Amino acid sequence: MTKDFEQIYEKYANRLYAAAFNICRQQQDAEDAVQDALLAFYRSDKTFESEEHIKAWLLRVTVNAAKSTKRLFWNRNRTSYEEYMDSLIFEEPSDRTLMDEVLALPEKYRIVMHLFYFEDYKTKEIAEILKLSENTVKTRLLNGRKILKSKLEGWEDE
Amino acid sequence: MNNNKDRYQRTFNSLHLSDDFRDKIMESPDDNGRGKIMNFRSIHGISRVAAAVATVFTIALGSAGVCYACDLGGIRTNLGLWMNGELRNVDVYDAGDGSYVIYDETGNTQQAMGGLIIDEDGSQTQMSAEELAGYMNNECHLDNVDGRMIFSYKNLSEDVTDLIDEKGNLYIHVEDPSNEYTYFHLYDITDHGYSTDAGRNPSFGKKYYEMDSADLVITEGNSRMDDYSYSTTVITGED
Repeated sequence: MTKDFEQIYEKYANRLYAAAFNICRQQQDAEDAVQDALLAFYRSDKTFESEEHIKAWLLRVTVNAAKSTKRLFWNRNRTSYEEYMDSLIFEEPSDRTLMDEVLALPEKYRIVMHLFYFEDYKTKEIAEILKLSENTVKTRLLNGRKILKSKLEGWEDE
Repeated sequence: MNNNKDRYQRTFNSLHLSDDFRDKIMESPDDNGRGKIMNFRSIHGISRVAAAVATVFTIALGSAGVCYACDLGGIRTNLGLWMNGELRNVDVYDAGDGSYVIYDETGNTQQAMGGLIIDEDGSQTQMSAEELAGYMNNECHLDNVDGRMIFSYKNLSEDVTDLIDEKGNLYIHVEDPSNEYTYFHLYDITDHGYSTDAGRNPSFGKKYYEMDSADLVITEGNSRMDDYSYSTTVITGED
């Protein structure tokens, strides 16, 4: 499949950022992770079977980059979480609460929840992207949901 | 779609990359890129980086964290590293969290550094101390010395305070036959750090200062991403 970098950028850059922010909880680190992923894509000679393949690959690289950025603790002189969150425009006031609660989840639950709820992936697909067993994904999804259910008004049983 | 998904998607759709991010990616990275790296070359001693993307970070610790190397456990690697225009014999300790801490001959901490290699399949590995040193030794450095910005590259050193433009950009070329990537763009220069891109060729229309003479030389070149080796983020001082 031919890579059209600009098209891929327009389509996925913000989605990659949402995934990266879910992990980093920090704007600059999340953008760095997205930049890493996009440049890796730009540079890669890898043959992609489909656009879906590209999306999954980009998400995987972004997630890995975000985890590594976070692990390295180079977070200095960066915008604070509160400051950044206050700058976001949410459609509903309760959306801010939802984001806060999601981002307060343990990281291993957060990214699984994000790929399920935001990217609309099936648990098997999430397992492939994150290189986890499907059972692990299901368990993390279940645990994440339980926590959100206990914290959020209107979070429905599934 | 269930309500939870709907709600979640609405919420996280509030997140957007910053306005200038697209330019940083789409335009030549020396113009607007920040802090991250493209490494498309094989640097002496780190050939496995050749087909990958790499990132390097360093934090200058100065002597703030004095600690004697001999008291530390863990994996130690002894390396030659250019620091402030001087080739130093340093001990590099693996901190165990993906970062390394550099101790000079006197046991004082000098820098913390870390780096990642993203392979073609998207997997990432931590750079070894030797790999990081390979980057560091081919990189330029900028230090704030009593309010003056001192540029150094290996054994060269120059006060470049007045050469930094109002947007915090500095373009410098050094002559070094041993290094293929000698066109440096330092940017986002603040009191707390800076980022660097190292290129094989000058960027189109950019004005590079020659390191030896600080003469202004207007050079023209292309700015294709492939011409860029990597960039480094350096953070200095404390919050």
